[in-house]
Amino acid sequence: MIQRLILLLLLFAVSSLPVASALEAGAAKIEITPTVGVPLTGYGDRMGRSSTGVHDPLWARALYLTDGETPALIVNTDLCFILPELRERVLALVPSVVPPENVFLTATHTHSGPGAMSHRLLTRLMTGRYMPEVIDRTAEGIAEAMRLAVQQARRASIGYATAKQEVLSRNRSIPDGPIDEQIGVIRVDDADGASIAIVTNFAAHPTSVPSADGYAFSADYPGFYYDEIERLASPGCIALFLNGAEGDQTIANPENKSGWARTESVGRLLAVRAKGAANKIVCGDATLHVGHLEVDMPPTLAGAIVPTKAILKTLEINDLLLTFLPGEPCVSIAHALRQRALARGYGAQFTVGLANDYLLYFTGPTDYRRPSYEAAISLFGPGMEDWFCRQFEGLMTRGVPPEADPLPDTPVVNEVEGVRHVILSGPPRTVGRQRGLAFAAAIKAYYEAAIVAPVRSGDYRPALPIWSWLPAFIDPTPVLLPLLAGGARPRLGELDDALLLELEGMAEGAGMPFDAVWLAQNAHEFALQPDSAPLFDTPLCTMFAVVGDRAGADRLFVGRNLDWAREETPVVTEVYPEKGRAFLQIDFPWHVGTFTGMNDAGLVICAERSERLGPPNVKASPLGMVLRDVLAVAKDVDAAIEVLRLHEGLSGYHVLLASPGEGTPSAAVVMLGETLSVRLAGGTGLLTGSDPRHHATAPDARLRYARVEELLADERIIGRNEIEGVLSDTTGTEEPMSAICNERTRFGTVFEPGTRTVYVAVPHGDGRMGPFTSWRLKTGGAP
Amino acid sequence: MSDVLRSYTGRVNPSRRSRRKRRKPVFSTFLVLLALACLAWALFITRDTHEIPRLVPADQAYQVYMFNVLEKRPDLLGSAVWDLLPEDSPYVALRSRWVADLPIPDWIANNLLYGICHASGQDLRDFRDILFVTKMSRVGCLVERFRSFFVDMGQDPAGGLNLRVLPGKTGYYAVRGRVLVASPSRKALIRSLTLSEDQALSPTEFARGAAGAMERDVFAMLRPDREDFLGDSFRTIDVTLQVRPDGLVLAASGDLREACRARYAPLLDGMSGGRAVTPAEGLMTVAVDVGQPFPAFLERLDGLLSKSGASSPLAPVVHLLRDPPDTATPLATVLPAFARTVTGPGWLQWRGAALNAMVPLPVLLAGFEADAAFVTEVMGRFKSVPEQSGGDPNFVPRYDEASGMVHVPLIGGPDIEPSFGYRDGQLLLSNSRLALESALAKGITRESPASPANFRLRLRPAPACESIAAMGRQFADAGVLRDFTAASFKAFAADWCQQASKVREVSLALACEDGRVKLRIDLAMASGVN
Repeated sequence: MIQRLILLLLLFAVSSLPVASALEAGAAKIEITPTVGVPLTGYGDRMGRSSTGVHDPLWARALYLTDGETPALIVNTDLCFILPELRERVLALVPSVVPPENVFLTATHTHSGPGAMSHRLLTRLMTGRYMPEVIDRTAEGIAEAMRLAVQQARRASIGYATAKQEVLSRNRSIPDGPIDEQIGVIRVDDADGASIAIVTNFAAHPTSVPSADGYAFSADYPGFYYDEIERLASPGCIALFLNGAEGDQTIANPENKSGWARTESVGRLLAVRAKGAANKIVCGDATLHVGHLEVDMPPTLAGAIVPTKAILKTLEINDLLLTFLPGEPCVSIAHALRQRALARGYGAQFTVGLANDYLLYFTGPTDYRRPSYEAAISLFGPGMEDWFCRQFEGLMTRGVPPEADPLPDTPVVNEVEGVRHVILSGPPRTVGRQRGLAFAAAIKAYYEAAIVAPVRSGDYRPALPIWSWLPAFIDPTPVLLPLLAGGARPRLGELDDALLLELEGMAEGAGMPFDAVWLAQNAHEFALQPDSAPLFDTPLCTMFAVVGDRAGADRLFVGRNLDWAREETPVVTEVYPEKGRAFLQIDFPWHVGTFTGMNDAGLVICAERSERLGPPNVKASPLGMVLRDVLAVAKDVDAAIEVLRLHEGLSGYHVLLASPGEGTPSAAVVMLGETLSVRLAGGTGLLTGSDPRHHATAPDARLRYARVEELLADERIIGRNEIEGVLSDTTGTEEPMSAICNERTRFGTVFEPGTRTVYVAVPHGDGRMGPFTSWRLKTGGAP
Repeated sequence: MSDVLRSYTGRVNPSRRSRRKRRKPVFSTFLVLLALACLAWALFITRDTHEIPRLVPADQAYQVYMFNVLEKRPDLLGSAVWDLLPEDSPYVALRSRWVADLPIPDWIANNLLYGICHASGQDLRDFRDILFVTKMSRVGCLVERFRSFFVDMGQDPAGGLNLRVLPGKTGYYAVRGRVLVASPSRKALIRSLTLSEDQALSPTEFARGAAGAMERDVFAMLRPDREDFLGDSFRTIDVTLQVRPDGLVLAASGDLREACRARYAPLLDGMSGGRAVTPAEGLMTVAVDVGQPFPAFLERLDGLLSKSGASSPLAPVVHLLRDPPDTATPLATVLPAFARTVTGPGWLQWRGAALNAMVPLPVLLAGFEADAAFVTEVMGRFKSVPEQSGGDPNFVPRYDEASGMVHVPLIGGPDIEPSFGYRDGQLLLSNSRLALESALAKGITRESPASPANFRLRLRPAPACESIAAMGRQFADAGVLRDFTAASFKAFAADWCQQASKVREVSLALACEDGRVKLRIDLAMASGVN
């Protein structure tokens, strides 16, 4: 009796437990090889020509899963990417049991797949002529695979595993660089234990087809993977391949083979590894969850080339998280996503690239600054790693998402005697956002004038003759701007991480593409290149330091007028960063770097252009950024010179450094030419930016600096008033810009490093310098 | 009439009756005499004493003849061709004024501009000395005589020439017999009135002009100075214009100056009886017959250009044609090789747009009379080129035996694949392999022109505009069409196509016959316009 009672109680307990609906699954594949003659896509140098043959067939493979509540279709196609035209056609044909947002449409990224599927003009330059019938046939093939998979659904169990590999892939951008060592495997079995499907997630470019078959259709190494795994698995098993964060990953050559043998070797080895991992999986029931998000991408200069909205999807199978990205993420993004997913309580995470859309490459901040193909065609800025992590964390159902980083308030900009003043503080990104919020209009205006205008007018053109052959009715600006940005990207290379974050923040605050903000930072140096029309033939001067006894009790003063071709209003910006030294810069709103600044150690930096030292090196970081870096870390002149020495390749400038030191003030002019050389103050205690007696000094600079010496010659002690007088002097000759305060002078500054005080004035409309207003840098942190 | 019975009594006063009888003839006679006098005066002052040519200088640079201007006014101004003028054009306002009421009553205008109207002048640049001469009816003469009742006109004695001055001194006119002479230039008018017989236009030339105007609406004879437009090349140019409700025909015929004939003799030789014939189909077709094979023509043109001192832009082309590279494989050898097979006239047909090509572009097909054996020989040179391998792409021309074409795999597929073939005595070439395949399969139907020409052009504006707009839209949608956004181009193209849809066809024929150049332009409006 008691036994019966216990049995009844057990039955009751079991029946009252929440039971997941039984998992069902089905898989199918349909060949989608187009007819010979359809152009291929993947390599631009094919120039849209027709295909000439088929090496191996292309497939659409679909895996249908449903836990009774959430149906999902994972579709794997042997295509280079999924373009919107194809996606729309496929989604219109999805079996009615699956909501379109639960379809995961992926491409293996074979570079030997068909093009012809975009009607957008700029995309056609890569994918070849538009053939609507190719879209129709491909979409119908995919739809048929989906329909069959749904049709064949049956009771199933599922499981996953990860395996480690070190020899199948390599980083193609950095020798011995990071790779995604994870092979992710999902096995789906039917009720009899026969495999319905094995899904493998592995990251490497399918670009291994030998050039002799460069015009033949092929699935590349995934084709051999399919063959091998379907051979190894039980009959009827469908192999699926989901490429991962393959942006900077390609296949290695583990068996040292060449041509097709290498392709086959990697495909089959991958299958063996995957099958090995699959064999260890214990399949069971599963709960599915689909995350779907359509979100605006960060602003980009390439809006004419790539979609500006992204489709992000997640599929959760129990504690496995699959994240689907619409493009080619580099491996650092996969690592970051995995780290976040594991921290949120997932057992494993697979990154799937080339899913649902194609927005080209995505790199992390480190890769973004490296001169590489991947960086050059990453069009959404250096912050994509963080951006994807934030977006996907919002879709994860496990754990608690991190709090969003709110935009700071727009800082208050005061104006005194024509000089604007603003205080920025906080972590670098916040400082940048504040700057962007405060001066969005000015930054945009400068970018338009200094970058967009010369590109549009044809002053900036790549060297390839085709850009000169374009007919006049074509305005290539929407294409050239991303190219120009790609060219400027290596200049980020040596930039401090904090500065990069600040630039990102500035772009966010101003609502501009990162590339636009960065190009604005570079504009003045681009314009100084000999082969482009000079936008600013500015010498960025005058500057001088008075040091030692001649500066009286204050021991050190620096005077500086900044001459600048474009009419702009200066801003005095106090920056109190989270890390590094607080500093104060007198610059223009768009400028994150600086040509005129002082830090909390009293180190003063001013720069002037020196034509005799050649044009600025566009392969090196912009000088303004380097000087900003110097202000953030250096405490005195010697330390500043050391930092400058670390930045190789700087050229075309004089940099005046002055610091009070520890009771021993010093000043130096660093000349950045082929080599770095230093000029120190002589016995007069006066150090000018250029030597007026040097034969190579430009005539106008010679006149200005001679006038500085003349005005100060009779002053035994030089104080602030005398320097203000010098900076206000309008005496000149017919030589343009021969006066210290001339028609291009945008502001005058006197630095009093001992008290961390700066006095700033702007010329009035009549050309005379206005009154000087003082600001003092707080040494104890942000006010 | 009244029905009241009337009775008369008493004597009739004979003296009163007789008095009345006596007065009547005197008054009537007076009135009749007055009327006769007026009539005689009217006939006298409106007598036709002057001929138009006598008042036109013989050395005018241009003469324009028109008959019955006002009578033709509704037809001329009502033509659909004026719909092509922009809405904000001043001519549109002018036209609407003229279509509506004239500033003077129609009957007056008809009598003032009666029969032929002649305009001439010496200034072909801004027409400041234009001279209008027209013959008035007698009524017109009388109306002009009584002008002071209508308009406050000034007088300018001008040494006895007695000029009338239009209000605001906008012009002057004078009347000689029934001829009215008017000009905005006082000097030109005075000269016209004081011409000696040998300075005046010959009646023969006037009769020729008048005869020309009888056949068309407007006939003009130009005698440009060397400094004038075309004056360096042409001694005289005759122009006729006929405006119809559904179109217009403009014809011109110019006599080349001797110096020009001599200078261009190498090019003009053999041009008579030009056989330029355009294909019947196409958005735009052009046909050219230079009377000699193109390579020879280019060589002669190059020689002429080089003589003038400047380096000829044709020099590299001519060099390439004269000394084509030995090897048959590079792309640069294909055109010169085939060009040398050309023996006669050629044509170019714009068939439409390859909108789905890698880059949208027009589809062009050209044909030239060519030496069949030579074409076969040239094609043979490309037989040995191996078919495109799977390796790196190349631009090597290759011969496809099945289609009988030589084609160059350039970029983007068959629509951007220069191709060459031969059919019906013609070398056919196209930038699109598909277009050439179609032409080789179906042949090309060509027009049957009524007269010889060296150059013909036929344009169908509506489909041509649609085609250009469709290509432009792709560039605009991609954001690379200068000065346009996708939306602004869409609006612009819609306007443009709407305007173009008013015209069915424009054709132009140019012929050179024995030193005389003839041009004819036909503009046919679409049905339903206007």
